[in-house]
Amino acid sequence: MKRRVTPFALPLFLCGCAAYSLVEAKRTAIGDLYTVDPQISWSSTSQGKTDTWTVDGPFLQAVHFVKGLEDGEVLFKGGDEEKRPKFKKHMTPSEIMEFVVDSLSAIGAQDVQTVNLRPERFGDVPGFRFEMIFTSNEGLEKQGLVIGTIMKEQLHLIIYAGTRAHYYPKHKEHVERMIQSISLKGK
Amino acid sequence: MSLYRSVCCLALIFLASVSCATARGSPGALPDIRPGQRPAIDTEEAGLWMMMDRVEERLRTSGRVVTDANLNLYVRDIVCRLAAEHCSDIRVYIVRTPHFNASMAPNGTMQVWTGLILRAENEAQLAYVLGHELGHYLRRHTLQLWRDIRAKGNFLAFFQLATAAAGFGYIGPIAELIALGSIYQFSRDSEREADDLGFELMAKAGYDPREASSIWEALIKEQKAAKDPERIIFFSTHPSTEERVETLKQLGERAGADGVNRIIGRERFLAAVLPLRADLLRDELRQRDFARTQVVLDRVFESGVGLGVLHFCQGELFRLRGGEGDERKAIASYQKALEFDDAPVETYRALGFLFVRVGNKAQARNSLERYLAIRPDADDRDMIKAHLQEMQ
Repeated sequence: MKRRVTPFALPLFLCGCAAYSLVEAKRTAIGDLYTVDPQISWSSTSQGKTDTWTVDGPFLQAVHFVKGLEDGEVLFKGGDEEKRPKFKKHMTPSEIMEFVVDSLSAIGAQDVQTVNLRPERFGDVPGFRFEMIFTSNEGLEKQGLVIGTIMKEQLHLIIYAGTRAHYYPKHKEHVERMIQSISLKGK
Repeated sequence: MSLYRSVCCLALIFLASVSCATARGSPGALPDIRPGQRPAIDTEEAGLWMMMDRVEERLRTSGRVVTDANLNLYVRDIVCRLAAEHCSDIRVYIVRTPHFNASMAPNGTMQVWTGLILRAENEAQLAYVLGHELGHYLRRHTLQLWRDIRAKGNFLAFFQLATAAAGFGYIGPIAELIALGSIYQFSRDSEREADDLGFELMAKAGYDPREASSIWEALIKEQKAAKDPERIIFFSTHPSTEERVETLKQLGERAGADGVNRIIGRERFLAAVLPLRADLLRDELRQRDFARTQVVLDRVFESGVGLGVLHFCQGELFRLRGGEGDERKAIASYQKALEFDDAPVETYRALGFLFVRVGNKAQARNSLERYLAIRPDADDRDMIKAHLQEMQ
């Protein structure tokens, strides 16, 4: 059985020991597709198609940038991928929400509840957004928001999640402003 | 995983590593646990209880425990019917995990996984499995197991199991649940004894013993269809043999041949389980083991009730599987679901999106509009309205 774990799975449910680098509070590229204004300094780590930024530690709060998931790929690498939901390029926003929820559940999130799926611009292209609450494996209440779009048949997501008490609200406004600052490259 | 949890896990795995416990009646067998009995503080059994108390504490706050009051009362009531004198010593936790399993710790912690509840057809079947687990508790099989480990120093098995368990590492507490389940990897003698006692308890409580074998049979069928048969957790800790099913069948037929009307409890069972069935099926679908889930769904269909939900779930299975022709099959299942009053309103939404995909815009519009008409304050109404606008 494969046991490689992405940093994305780690901050939500386990404690990771990945190498981090500093993201300064100045416009930063997220892959080849877009840039954001981080608002504040973050610690960043990256694996595969996911960059993870945190201030207080990934277990407490983190922003995950999922960069261009392709048809048939899973959200969380490692473990028994055969039984994980896979992204399909024809998915509707409802199905992408289901994909995120089922992927979280597959790595141990409990009772993932989503609210307010709605259209939202991702930079200047059409996208979608929803909020969620769930319980971690340890019984800790967590809160999150997800914004995403499909471009050139690839899924791009920004997922912000943290403990419902204190750490999610602590940087939510920064994340909201960061989302507003998305600027697609070449536009 | 914290150090404590790792140590706890390994201790449990260590405990699970033995392959032969002492059966009742054989030399060194322990007397049954008495109602209200607690081990003396300076005994090894007290140490075992203390460890289980900690595991129970973690389980209680894990976020996996189902809080539905009716279902909890119902399952607890069955346990108390089966072992009335021990009722106050046993704490039942219904755990939201889509696998067939139940277990019982020596300190009186009983876990009943929702995968078992989904798969049982009636109260008598559930009572048999709970009776089997009570059998391990009453006969103090865990303590016997612990003593055998110490006597045999079975460290090779310990290391093998520790390595295997490490494979579950990234999942976290599910590994603990599995490890906790593994504690009951008793010997065949102990399993036979628990089978016998479970059978005896269910018969004494007035349940129809002919139901005992059928839940085992269903599980074997499911195992054959599963993508990864080794992941049927219950079978990893409870040896499953055709012979065992056959024995239970014969016992059941013999006991049921007296013409006495015994409890099957189908209506009571369905009343307690139906409100949660859609959620449990959703958990099952998340496993993405479609052949196995189809076996489960077929079995649940046999209940003959809640058909709107069941046809919707059948549609969901086809949609999620997404194989050749599955879109059409999903559409047919959703349409069938809508023939029943209990079809979830989400059926219209799912149907609408599939009609979009197969290029039937008129039907897509119709279905999505119907969804919004029934649920005008739907949480995703803005998204649906955006889809409808796009179609224009």
